[in-house]
Amino acid sequence: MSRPVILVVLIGIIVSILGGAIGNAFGLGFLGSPIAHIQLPAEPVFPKPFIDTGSGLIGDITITNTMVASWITIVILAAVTFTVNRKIREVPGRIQGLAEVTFEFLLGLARNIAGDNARRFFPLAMTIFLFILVNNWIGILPGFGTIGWVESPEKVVHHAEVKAEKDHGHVNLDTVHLQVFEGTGPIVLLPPGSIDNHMKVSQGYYLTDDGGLKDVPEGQYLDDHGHLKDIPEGQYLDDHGHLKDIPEGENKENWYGYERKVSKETPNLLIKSQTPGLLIPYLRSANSDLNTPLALALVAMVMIHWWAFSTLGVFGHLGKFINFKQGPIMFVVGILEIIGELARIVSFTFRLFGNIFAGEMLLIVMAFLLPVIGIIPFLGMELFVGFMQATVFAVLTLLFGSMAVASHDEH
Amino acid sequence: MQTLTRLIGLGWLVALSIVSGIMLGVWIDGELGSSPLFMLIGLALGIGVAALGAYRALSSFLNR
Repeated sequence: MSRPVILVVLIGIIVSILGGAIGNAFGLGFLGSPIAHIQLPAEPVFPKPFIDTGSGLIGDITITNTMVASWITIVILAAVTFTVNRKIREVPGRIQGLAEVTFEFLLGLARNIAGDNARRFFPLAMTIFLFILVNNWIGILPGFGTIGWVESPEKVVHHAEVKAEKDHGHVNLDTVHLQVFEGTGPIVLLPPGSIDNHMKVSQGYYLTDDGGLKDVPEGQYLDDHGHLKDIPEGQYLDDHGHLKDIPEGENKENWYGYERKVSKETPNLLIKSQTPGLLIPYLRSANSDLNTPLALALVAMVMIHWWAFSTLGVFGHLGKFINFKQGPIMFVVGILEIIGELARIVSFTFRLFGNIFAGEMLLIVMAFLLPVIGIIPFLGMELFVGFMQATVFAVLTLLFGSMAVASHDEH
Repeated sequence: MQTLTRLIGLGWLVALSIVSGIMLGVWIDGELGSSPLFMLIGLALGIGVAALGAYRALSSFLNR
């Protein structure tokens, strides 16, 4: 490498490190990306459920952000398919060429694995491959996980209480974190700046007796027992809610108390124009929700058994699992096969879900630690992981399919 | 390729058969109040089934 290139790379790395959390620890962080709120279940897109069944068994039907993402995938795939199918030429254009390369890649794999059955298994495997691939790849586009609506602190605490009630625990407000926004609306971006834009619910808010959440009034504070008290003359509250003396010579008007202090030195504190809350993104990678991989795995397994039934007949296929004829050992082996089929569903689901969810967490953490430049290799890695997982899912569907249709005597 | 496929689900098979054996035993214990007898029996059965499954998956390689 020539010297200017090395210099540019070096400067990039230094800026990246200084601008991130490492720089933040020494008071130099200027590029730090926001800490997204990490949540396992998919979040609803609208504050209210789509259909309120009012039944505890089914629960409410909500439109989640992962559902919206998979709908976008379906629209993209349908649009590309329509465009390619409308004008098929001898000499392929760019989109047709891409489609042909993709099909030939998986059709070659299918011929290797399934042999004569390749044409029969191919449509499902290709559908699964394309759906997972596009889902994984649009999941790392900007806008996923960073644009959404703001949930109010009251709702956040309410959810924490519902969760604590389920776990038979007591809600600890110190563990409930909020993000700080400049105004709220239907479309809100995750605020820039890293740890500065986080606050705990117990700072500046208190729980009323009926479980509500209220602003701590100006000039008052919460003592250790959660009671409201007036801030004494000549004192103020610091970041951690401890009473401290106002320094000599400072104007008392500037020291509102810890939740209203406007100052560069105490960025954790809310100023009047800011709103606390939690960002609920409109879009999130569909496979980071356990339901999508589970649905795909169930579709794949149902189709695999359908193929087996239609090839071997009902008794031919069931005979693999329930076998009385060849002694007790073969009966246990049959039970083993049933457990194996269940294990396949579980491993299908968790392989895809685990890889994609872990990738999302990795990107969040790396965007926080090494912003702007340090994250680029990890974005590339996520592209690769998304492709690999789509391939693995499709290839395993082909493999299990060709194993299932093989008759019992062959192995 | 087909013989290699048998190894893919092996880890989950071992985990699932042991866990399902234990859970079955715990359920029977809860019904009969005989804790921990059936849990141990279920554990032994689960380990046995898991070992059998592992042997079946690996036998095609062992016989060579």
